[in-house]
Amino acid sequence: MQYAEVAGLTPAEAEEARRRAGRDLTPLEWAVLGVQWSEHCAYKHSKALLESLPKAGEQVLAGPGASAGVLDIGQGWACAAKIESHNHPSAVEPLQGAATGLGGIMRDVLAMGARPAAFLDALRFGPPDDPRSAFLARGVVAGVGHYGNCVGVPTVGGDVYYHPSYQRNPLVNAMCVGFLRHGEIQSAAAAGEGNLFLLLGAATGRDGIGGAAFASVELGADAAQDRPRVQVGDPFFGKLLIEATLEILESVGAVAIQDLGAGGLAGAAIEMCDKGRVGAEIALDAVPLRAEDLLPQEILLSESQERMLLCIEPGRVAAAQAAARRYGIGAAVVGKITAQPTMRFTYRGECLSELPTGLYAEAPLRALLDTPTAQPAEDALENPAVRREDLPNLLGLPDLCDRSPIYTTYDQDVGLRTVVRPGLDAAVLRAAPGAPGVAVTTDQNPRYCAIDAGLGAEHAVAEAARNVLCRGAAPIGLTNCLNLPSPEHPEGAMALRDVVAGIGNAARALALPVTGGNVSLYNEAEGIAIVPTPVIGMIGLLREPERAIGVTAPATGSAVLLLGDGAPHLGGSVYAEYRGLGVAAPARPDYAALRRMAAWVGSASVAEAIALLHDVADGGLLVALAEVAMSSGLGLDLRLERADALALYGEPSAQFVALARDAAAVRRHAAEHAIPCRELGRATEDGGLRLVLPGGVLQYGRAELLAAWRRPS
Amino acid sequence: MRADILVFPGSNCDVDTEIAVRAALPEWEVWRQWHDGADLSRTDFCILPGGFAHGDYLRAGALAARSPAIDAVRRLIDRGGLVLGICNGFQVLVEAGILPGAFQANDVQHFVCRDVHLRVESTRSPFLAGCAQGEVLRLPIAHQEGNYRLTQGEYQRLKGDDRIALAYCGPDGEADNPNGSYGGVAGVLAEDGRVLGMMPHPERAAWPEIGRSDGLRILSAPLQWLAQGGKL
Repeated sequence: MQYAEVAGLTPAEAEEARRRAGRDLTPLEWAVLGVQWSEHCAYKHSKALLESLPKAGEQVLAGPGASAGVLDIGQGWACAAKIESHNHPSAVEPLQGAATGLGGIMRDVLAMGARPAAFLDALRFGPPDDPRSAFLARGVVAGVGHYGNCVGVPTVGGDVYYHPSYQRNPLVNAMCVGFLRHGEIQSAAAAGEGNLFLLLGAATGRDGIGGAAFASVELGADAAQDRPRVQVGDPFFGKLLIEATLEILESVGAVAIQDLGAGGLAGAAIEMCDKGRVGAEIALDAVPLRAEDLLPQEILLSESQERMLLCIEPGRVAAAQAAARRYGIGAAVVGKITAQPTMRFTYRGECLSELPTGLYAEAPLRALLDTPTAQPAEDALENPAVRREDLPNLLGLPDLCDRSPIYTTYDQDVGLRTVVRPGLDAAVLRAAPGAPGVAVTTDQNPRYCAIDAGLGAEHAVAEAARNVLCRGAAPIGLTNCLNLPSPEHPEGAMALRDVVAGIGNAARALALPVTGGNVSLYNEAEGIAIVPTPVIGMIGLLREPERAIGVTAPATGSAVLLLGDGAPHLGGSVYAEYRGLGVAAPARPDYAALRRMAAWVGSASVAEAIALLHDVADGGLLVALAEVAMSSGLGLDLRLERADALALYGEPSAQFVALARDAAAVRRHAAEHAIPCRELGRATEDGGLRLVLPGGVLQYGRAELLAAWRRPS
Repeated sequence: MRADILVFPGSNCDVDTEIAVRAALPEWEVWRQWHDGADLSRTDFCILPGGFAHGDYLRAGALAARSPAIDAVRRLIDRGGLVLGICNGFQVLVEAGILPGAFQANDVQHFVCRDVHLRVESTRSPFLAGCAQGEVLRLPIAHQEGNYRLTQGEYQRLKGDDRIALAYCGPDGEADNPNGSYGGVAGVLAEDGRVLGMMPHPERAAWPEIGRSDGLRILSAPLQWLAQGGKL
């Protein structure tokens, strides 16, 4: 009993394991099973719900279940992408937690046979004036830079929000995007009796043991004691691993490949065998070690970083090892595939364990608590007149201020694929010069999710779609990272149901497949649960990325147009929080309006008509206009019809500000697609904002806007 | 003519540099050579690319500077070949003593990646022969240890010998220094001008179709230099 308990299994789960095995399990087996049946590996609470998400799409080449989703982007090219959390490790050791978060997701993309091309980081912290939150934020940002810059993969986007619920449990979600040719897609299903398991990469040490189990419970006040469970990343070694892996896949060939993540060697081998409905005999004494006295169980479960497991034909092993040797990294044969679906672990000639592959792989699912759907409180929000100081005050808020102090510490360019760097909306990548590319972004708004998790999830999808549309890219698929509190409490169970339903609603409404992702539950620390945080990573297709919106700068004199609809709402808005107007839910996203925008952007060469496109989102119209002015260096001289808070600071779900190259063409295209289009004024040279309102003129100089926005960090 | 890019474990701009050099020198043979056993006996132009050679363990560039591949670079220099060290490659050349000075962490104490402006201080080298003295170029930087140190005496001597190639500046040539480098120095030359070390990345600005093209001028400059009578 006691071993099962230590491994984190419930009495019922332990009983089920004994029943399936037909005997009691050994301590080593309990330890492996504890990891395999942890929430982190087995998705016990979420698996059934996730089945409800739409997965099909004409561009989907690999979906959920693969190491990363893969989408067709044309001309024989494909884009692999996935987002994953590394929250608990980052709470106790922010630098290494973030660094290994990047490393882990990078290896997932590598396992599809793709060259990792870019990272995005979605970060959530407590208030920046709280010393602990500031320490965590500094460490996480340093960790992202430490790993990404050195491994040679640029970090091109992401988002950051601050909310008190993240104070002790920050969120670090890393997304990796890679490119490959269609024929290069790899499988993770081990196959072929007598084929070998080749362990490629770093030697195995005692780091990160029990990491998956650690991620499957709430953080305690003594979380610092969990530091040894945090893995240590080595981006230099990670770079060698990328090159060696791609060279082996290209010039030697593998039957299957997967990275070693949660559950270490045991996790990778069991998953690969389960996918191929085979078994394996793993010789633990064949695993290269960097600490001599590792126990068999530690060898199996160590989460040492920078390792990949390949299933390879015996005749190709020597060539694979020669390639690895050139890069100075290890490649050891550690096992053999068996037709019988049984996992055998041997050590110094002795068989330590023999259990069916499926026993480990098929964890008993847990039923979610029954909960009523939330009925959020609805204050009646007043619609006050705006004040001159509102705009600079909003621009200086932690959630809206300049992000360049973060992203300029990341290498945004290495690899030559970055066509539009981070800043506004989405970044643009090209698979290669002259090849197709993608616009990429991560999004989620904690203010909306705090009020209504399901509606917040819908808005996360809508916002991500808007951001890729801003580059002239049509959204083609999304990956999601669900960061939630404990599902064992009614509120957590409800949040899990609501966010999955919300993402499903939005994805179906926009006809987007969900290509995979990650669920991180138990995000609670010292009794405080995080706001439900469903982060969406969106991929938008660009057949000619060099002609994306934002590649060339807009000119003075451009017409400033307001495109689209999706009526603004003050519920959940930055302005409502800032003015203390009360708590009300945002309006549902206007999917029909977003679909009309997507149809236009996907069909025409919008970049010829539009020099800059920016969506109206957090902070509303005036904040969006200020962001356009600051980023373009141009001034905006505009006439607006209304001067109330709803019109100027309300947050619509499908509205865009455009600087036109050819205003007549924009109007014509907009009319063809039934998109409202209104001219607000002209771009000027002076760099500030001049707004003619019904009650008078509001004017802000460029220096004033920049000073407010670039708040000292 | 032939260009060779030296690849160390941890170099991560080697492929980028290869692609950019192929675009800049279309008639040339372009090779990437792994540091171990690198043969530069047939090359005319060797580039040490950016990245984190040997993980930048010990100090940026310190381990690579002591590898046998650097002996091959020295032999190339002795026979009058062209050498360009970009970012980490510049750090390697300095650690090897091929170029003067030393590096320390940026004065802002973190990695910096952004476009900077550079004033062309000398047009003597084959890489900047196509630029005008005082001309301002725009190139991206991406480094953590780009704070280039010289003593005042060294700086005066290099200045006197016309060996300061590039200096950081603002868009209109005014003073602006992203990393605290002494005198704003962003690139220096060996005595004969055939070795250039520079922190900014020309290979990342060899792409006119996306509005970044000043790096192409540096990478393609050897063509003009040869056409105007430069000898290898």
